[in-house]
Amino acid sequence: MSAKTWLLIALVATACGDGNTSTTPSPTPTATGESWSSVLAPGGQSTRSFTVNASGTIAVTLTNADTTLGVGVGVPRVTGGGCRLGVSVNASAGSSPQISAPADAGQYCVQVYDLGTLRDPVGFALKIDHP
Amino acid sequence: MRFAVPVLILASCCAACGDDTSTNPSPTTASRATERFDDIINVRESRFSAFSVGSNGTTSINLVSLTPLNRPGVLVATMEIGWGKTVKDEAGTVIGCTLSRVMQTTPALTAQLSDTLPPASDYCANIADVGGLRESANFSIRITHP
Repeated sequence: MSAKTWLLIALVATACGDGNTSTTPSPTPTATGESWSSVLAPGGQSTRSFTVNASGTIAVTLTNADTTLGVGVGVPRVTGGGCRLGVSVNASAGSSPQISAPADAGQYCVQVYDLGTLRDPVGFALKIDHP
Repeated sequence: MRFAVPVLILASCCAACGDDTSTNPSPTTASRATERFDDIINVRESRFSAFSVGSNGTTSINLVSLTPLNRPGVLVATMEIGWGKTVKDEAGTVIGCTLSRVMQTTPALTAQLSDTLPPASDYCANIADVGGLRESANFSIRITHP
């Protein structure tokens, strides 16, 4: 046989891998970023639901608002809509999360609400990062 | 015939490659259910809700929310949560909850209480004010079990 033929055989043989080294399943929950913008009326509250697929950290960043607003994270009401808050803060718009909380997998909601200071409707935008 | 030997060797090598049939992970996670226990609790009172555990595994209880009745935001108050067995009257009506384990905690988005419970249909989850509550409140508890 020629040298080329033996070289080809060697290449095919080395291509055979050890299948046992790569068989461990590695669960890698995908991080999700959701953006949300809406308008908040005086005395009102606005809610958005989202799903956390694995345990991890929920981070909420109020990225745009002309005034300080209440922002919270909780679980959706079983009936009637709305949100049962577990954590909340008075937040001004910024680029760093105003809420960062460890959470189990499950259904959650974020709520933005008037702290009693609004005289006119105000627009807001926020970002929700979660597993 | 000149190429018979190398072709045979190549075929052997290729046939030896791969062992994909036994590497698939087999799902072994038992199905779990999450129940919600939402109600109003008054100062110095307690509330309970019955639940069943279908198979062996970890049962988690999570006081996830405690909020005022008529304004937005959260209440930061230490509450007592726990689990136990239901108490029934002669007619079989559940009238109470005998607690087996309790802890004091504040609301969080992760479970505060986790225990391995054997299957049974007479468990109860309980919440009680131990002096931290200054007003009536809405609460939400998540009960996750096999």
